[in-house]
Amino acid sequence: MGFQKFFSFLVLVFTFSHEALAAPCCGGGSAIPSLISGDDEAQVSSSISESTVIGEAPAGGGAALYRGDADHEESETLRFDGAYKLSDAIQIGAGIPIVRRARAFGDRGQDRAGVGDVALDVAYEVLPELSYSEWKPKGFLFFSLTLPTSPSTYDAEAPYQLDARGRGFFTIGVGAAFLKTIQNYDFSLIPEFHRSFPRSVVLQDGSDVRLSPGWGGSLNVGAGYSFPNTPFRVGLSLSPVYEGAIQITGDVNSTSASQLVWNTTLSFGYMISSEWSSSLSYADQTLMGPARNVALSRSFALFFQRRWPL
Amino acid sequence: MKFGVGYVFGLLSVSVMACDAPVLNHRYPDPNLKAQGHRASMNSEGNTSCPLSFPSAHLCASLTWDHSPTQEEDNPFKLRFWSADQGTESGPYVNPEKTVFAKLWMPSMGHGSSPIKLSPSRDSSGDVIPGIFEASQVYFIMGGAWEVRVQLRAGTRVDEESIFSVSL
Repeated sequence: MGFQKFFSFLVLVFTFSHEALAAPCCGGGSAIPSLISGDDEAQVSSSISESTVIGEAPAGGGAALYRGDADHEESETLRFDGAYKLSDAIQIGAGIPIVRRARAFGDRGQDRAGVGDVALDVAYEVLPELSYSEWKPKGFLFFSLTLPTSPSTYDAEAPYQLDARGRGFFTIGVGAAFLKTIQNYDFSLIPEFHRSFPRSVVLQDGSDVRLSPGWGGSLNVGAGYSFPNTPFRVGLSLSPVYEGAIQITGDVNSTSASQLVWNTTLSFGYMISSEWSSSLSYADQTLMGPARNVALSRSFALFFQRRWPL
Repeated sequence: MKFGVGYVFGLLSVSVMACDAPVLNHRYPDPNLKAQGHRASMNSEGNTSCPLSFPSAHLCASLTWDHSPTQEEDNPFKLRFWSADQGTESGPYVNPEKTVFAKLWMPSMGHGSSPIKLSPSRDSSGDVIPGIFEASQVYFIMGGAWEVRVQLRAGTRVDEESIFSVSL
């Protein structure tokens, strides 16, 4: 494998070795699927992440309220993703997270664990890389469906809503992914929009409400550098994530504020072999702003991927 | 040249965004306020003689915390109801004809918290004290502006509601 091709391969492998991180309970997460971006027939990915909530960004802006030392909220997510190519251009995929959430004050704490929201997706390669081009990127168009397979904040029963592991809505998303390698450098651009569907729900306290969520979207801009003659890559990405307001009617009449958070992710990739790859990433929601109406977290994630060539 | 302009523009954009970053603009809970027992700022709609008003039922109510609300533990409180025409905050207290219900709500996030447990207050001999209700399992899951929504319900229908605001 030539160096140029090898670097491109690293980029394609590691560009999608991230996930848009957000608090598992409260939304603000984008649905970027785990795409097959190389010459593979199928791939299976697994990641484990540890996320700590640092504080809350106020809805009206201004200073974020960081949590005191005694207040510790964390979540661990074990995630499995699979993707399979139906043809040269079309692929399908699915992802399932298993989430554990914990909250502790000093030595008093409790936790809950279970399956999170399952995601299904289909992608089409709109800009295949059939020959070398100095400017043309490799491009995908993807559609995603997120199923509310886990309790949300509207279904939670546990104190501190620790059993809320999803957003609680059917959500469809559409997005594109553009990747380009120039020598040892790589660049990615992944815009995504999603829409969640209204839902009627009887809250755990008996309140009968109608929830009408709005639009959301995210943009992931990333760049990376692959070290010559090594299987290592370092990457940095910035991803603003916006979630529209939710209108609540019924026994409670209220309109939430919209949410905005910026994910900054630093990742180190290591290609174990042509079929196996791994990466370690650090994501921080406090480094960029403005942030509005979200719980801010910092996360570490370890990622492994196995691919089956065509 | 084009690359240089783009680089400078990008750097300036990132710098502007970083200026409003939470890591540069944040605060911590004030330990002094906690020590003084005023961990949270509180206010309620209505006036001082009728902190929580239920005009249709001709009732007023007050909400008093057992301790200043925090995120760190259960925040039990008491609701006391009196006649808007004849009673005062000191009594006599009367039972509303409708079912009393209380829930937490965080308007900005558009969600509440786990259900509040509400039960009639009892004296030392176990007899129900009319017009006084004790709330427990009151958990504020994050900092920010919260509401305690006190409702009078007929079955599942909300007849009247009065809101007590809490800022953590």
